[in-house]
Amino acid sequence: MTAHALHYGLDCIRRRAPLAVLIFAANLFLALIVSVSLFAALNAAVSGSGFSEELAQGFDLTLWADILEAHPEITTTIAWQLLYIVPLYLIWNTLLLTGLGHALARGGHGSFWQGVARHGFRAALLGLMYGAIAVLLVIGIGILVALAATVGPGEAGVYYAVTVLLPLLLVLALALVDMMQDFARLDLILGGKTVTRAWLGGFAWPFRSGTANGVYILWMLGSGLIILLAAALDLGMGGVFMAFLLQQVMMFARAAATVGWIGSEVAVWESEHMADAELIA
Amino acid sequence: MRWFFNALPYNHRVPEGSPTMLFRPSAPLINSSVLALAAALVVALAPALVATLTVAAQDAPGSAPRATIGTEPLSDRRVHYDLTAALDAETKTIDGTARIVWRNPDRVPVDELQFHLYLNAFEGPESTFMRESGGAHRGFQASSADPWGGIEITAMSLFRGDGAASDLLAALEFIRPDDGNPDDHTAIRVLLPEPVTPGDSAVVDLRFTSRLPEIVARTGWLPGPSGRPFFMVAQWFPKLGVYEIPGQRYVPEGAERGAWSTHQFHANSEFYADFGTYDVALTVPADYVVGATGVLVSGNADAAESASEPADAALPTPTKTLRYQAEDVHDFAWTASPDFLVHERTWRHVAIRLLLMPTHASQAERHLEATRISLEGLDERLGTYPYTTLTVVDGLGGANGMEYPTLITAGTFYGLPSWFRPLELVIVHEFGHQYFQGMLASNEAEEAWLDEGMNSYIETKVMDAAWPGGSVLDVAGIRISGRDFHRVSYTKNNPSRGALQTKSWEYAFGDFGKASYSKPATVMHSLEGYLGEERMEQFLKTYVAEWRFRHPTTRDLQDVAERVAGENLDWFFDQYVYGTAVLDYRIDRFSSRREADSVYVATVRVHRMHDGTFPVPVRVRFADGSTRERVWRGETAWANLTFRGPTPAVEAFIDPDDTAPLDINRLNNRRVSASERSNLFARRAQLRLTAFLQRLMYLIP
Repeated sequence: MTAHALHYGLDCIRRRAPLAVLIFAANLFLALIVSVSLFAALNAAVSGSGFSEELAQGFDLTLWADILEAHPEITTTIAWQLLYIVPLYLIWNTLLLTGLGHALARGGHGSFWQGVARHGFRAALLGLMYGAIAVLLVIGIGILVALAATVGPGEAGVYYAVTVLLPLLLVLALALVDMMQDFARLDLILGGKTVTRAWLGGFAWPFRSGTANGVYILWMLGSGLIILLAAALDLGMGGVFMAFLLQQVMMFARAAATVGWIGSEVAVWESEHMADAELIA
Repeated sequence: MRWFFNALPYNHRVPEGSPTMLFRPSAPLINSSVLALAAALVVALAPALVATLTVAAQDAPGSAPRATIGTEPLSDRRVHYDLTAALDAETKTIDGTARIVWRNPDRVPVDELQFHLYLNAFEGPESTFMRESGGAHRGFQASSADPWGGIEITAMSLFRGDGAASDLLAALEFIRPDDGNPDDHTAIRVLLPEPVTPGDSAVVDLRFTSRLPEIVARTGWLPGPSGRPFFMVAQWFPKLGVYEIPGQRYVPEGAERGAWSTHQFHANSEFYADFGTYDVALTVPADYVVGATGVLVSGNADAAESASEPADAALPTPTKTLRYQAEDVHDFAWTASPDFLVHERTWRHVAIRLLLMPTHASQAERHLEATRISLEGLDERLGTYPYTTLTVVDGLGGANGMEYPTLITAGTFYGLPSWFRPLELVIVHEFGHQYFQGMLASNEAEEAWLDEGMNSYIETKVMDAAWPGGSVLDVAGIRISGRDFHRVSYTKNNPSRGALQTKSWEYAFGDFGKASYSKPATVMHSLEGYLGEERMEQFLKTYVAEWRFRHPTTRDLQDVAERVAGENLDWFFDQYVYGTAVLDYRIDRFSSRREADSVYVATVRVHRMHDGTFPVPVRVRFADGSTRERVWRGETAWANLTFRGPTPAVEAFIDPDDTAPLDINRLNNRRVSASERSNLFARRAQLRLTAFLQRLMYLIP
C-alpha cells in the first residue's frame, strides 16, 4: 500500500512537472524579493570601498560592524520585508497545497487553479485552525522542556532538554499537525466535508492509517535530506555562483518532492476511502 | 636566633612565634644600623640563618616545597600574615585569627594602620558596593532568602612582645574616603598607641568572624551539585591597605610623609595590597577538596578517603587542617568543595592543579590545554612565571572569571562546543592577571586599565596566536579574533566616553567595562602598530622586568614605553589614555590627472573626522599595480595628499596594514576608482541569503 502510494507520487512528478516548476519559481521569487534589497544596500555600502573582494572571501567582524553602523537600513529593510513575506508565503503555501490536492486526485489530471479557486478560502480557514493547535502544542512543549530541564541532572539536564528534547518534540509535534492538516485538507477537497468536520476528521488520520504515517515520514525524510545537502553545499562552498546553481537544482528537487508528497497522500486518501466504500458495499 | 632580633632597636620586639621577615637589602628607608648588623651576621651565621628562616623555601628532600623559583625574596615584603581559618560549612562562616606584621617603609613614624574589610560590601543593601551595583554583578544576583555576609573583628590588639598587648578595638574607626557613605564598612583605620618608627614593625593580633555571602561578586558560597555548599573564599580576612611612601605612585617625591591608599570597595573596583608572605592554616570538613594560593606544606587537600581522618574535638563533623605558605604575593584566596574532581599536571617548574565540577569532567583536557597555552604564551611574551604552583578552579556562578595569586577561576558550561572558546579565553585572561596585577600590582581601584586592559591586550595576543583567525569564535565561516572582538567592543560603544585613566567608581554607567578592557586592548594594539612588534615586545618585557613586584602607575608604564621607543609619547598617551580622543580617518575622494607621458598625479583628500590623531601610512595604488605611500599624522582636519605614478590611480587606502585599530571606522579608509568597483561581496551575500530563505521556506510545512 505504501509502495503504491509512493509510486503514485513519483508518477505525479513525472506527469505534472510544470507544477514543480511553479512551486520552485514561487519559492525563488519570494526569496529574491528580500535578497535583492540586501544586494542593493550592500552594493551601495561596499562596492566603492575596495573591501568587496576581502569581504567576499571571508567574514570580517570589524567591517561588518562598520557596514551596519553606516547603513542601519540594511537590517531594518530586511526585517520589514520579512514581516510581510512570511504571511504572504503562508497564504501561498496553503493555496499551493490545496491546488495540488485537487490537481493530483483521480488519476492526477485535475486543474490546479480550479482547486485553488474552489477550495482555497476554506483551506485557509482550516490552516488557521490547525495553526492554533500548533501554537498550543509549541507552548505545551516549551513548558514540558522547561520542567524536564529542572528535573534533569543539573547543567547536563538543561543542555539535553534544550538541544535534544526540544527540537525533537517540536519536529514531531509540527510534523503530526502538518500530517493531520494534509489529510483534513483532502477531506475538504476530495471528500466534500465542511471545514469543521474536516478539521475534526484530521485528528484521526495518524491513528487510522499506518500507510498515511509511512508515506508522510518517508517524504519528510527525503525532503529533509535534500535541504541538508543544500545547506552543506552552502557551508562548504560559500556564496560562489556554482554553489548557488547547484542549490537551485536541489531546490527544484525539493519542489518536485512537494508534488510527489501530496500525490502520495492523495493516493492514500483515495485508497482508504475506496476501502471504506467496499466495506459499506 | 630570636635573641638576635630582639636585641635590635625595634619598637616592638619580634614576639615568640612570629615569623622573621626577610628584608631585601635594597629596601629603602631601612634603619642603617640594623642593616649593618644584619649584614655582618648574615655573613657569619649564614648556614644557621638559612636553617631558621621560616618563610624561605627549602630544597632538601622531605621539606616544604618552594613557593617561588627564586632563592631570594622577589618583592619588598612589607607585610606578613599568619592566618587561621576554621570553616563551618553549615553556617557558612569562618572563625579566623590573624597575626599581621607590617613594616613601616617611610622615613617618618606612622601612627595608624588602615585595613580593608572587603567582605562588608555584602553585609546589606546600603553598602557602597550594593548601591553602585544594584545588587547585581556581571549578571549574577542573589536568590536565597539570606544572601548577606560580612566580616566582624571581635578582638584586635597590638602585640608588644613583652607579654603585654594593647587593645586596639576601641581605636578602630570606619573610614569612607571615596563617597562618605555612612553605611559602608569596607575600610577602617586604627590609631596606634605609639607610632611605628621607620623600618620597624607593628604586629597586630586579630580575631574575626567572616560570614560568607551567597556568591554574587567573586566570593562566598553556592549550593554545589551534591547539594553541599561550594565555597570560593576571597577577601575574607582584614587586609592591610597600602602605605605609599613619597615618590611611590602619585605621592610626591618631596612630600613630608607617605599616605595610606585604602579605598572603599566599589562595584567596579577590585583590589590593591602590598606584597608579602602568608602562612595560613585552613580547617575544613574532611571530605572537602581544597585549592589555595601558594604551596601546601601539610595536610591533604584532596577529599578524605575514609572517616578515620583525625577529627577536631571542637567541631562536630570530621575536619582536616591544611597549611599553606605563599611568598611574594599580595593576597590569599582559597576554595573548597566536596564535588571537585582533581587533575594534576606539571609544566616545567609549575605544578598545575585543576579543580573541576563533575558536570564538566569531559572538559578537563580543554582546561589543561588552555592552561599550558597560557603558561607558554605569557612566558614567551612577558617572562618567567615565578611561582611553583597554579590552581585552576571551575567554580560556580559569580565566583568564576577571577584571579588571585597562583589561583584562577575559570567557568564553562556543559556541552560547550569546540569552536566557541569562552573557556579558553577566560583561562588565558585570568592567568594573564598573574602578571598584570599579580606581579605588576597596580592600584585596581584607581587605574583598572593597567591590569584589565593590559591583560586584555596580552590575552588577544596569546589567543590569536593559538587559534589564528577565529580565536573567540570559528563556526560556519564566521571567524572572530580576540583583537577584533575588543576592537568592535570599543569602537561601536560610545568611543568618546570613558578615559582609561579614570577611577573605577567615577565611570558613567556602562563605560567601565569598555574603558578598562576593550579600549585599552585596542590602544595597546595601536601602540604596537606604531612601535612595531619587536619594540612592543621589548617594551612589555622591560615593563615587567622593571616593575614586577611593585606598584606601577600609568606614568611608569608610559616612561618605559618612551625609553624603549626612544621618543616622547605624550601625543599618544594624552589622547588615548588620559583623554577620550576618537580616531576616525576617511578618504573623502581621490582623483588622477595626467601631468605628462607616463606621469599621473593622484590627489587624495584625507579627512580627520574627529579629534584623534595618529600617524598612519596613506597608500595609493596605480593601475599598473605600483604603489606609493606617505605618512599622514592627522594634524590638520583635512589635507590633499599628492602622489605621482606611471598610470592613473585606482585606489587610495589609509592604514592599509591596519596598524591603528583605534580608528572607529575602517570602511571609510579606502576608496577605489569606478573601474575597480566590485559588487562581488554584495552578489555573494545576495545569493547566500536567497538560498537560505528558500531552504527556510521549504521547512515550513
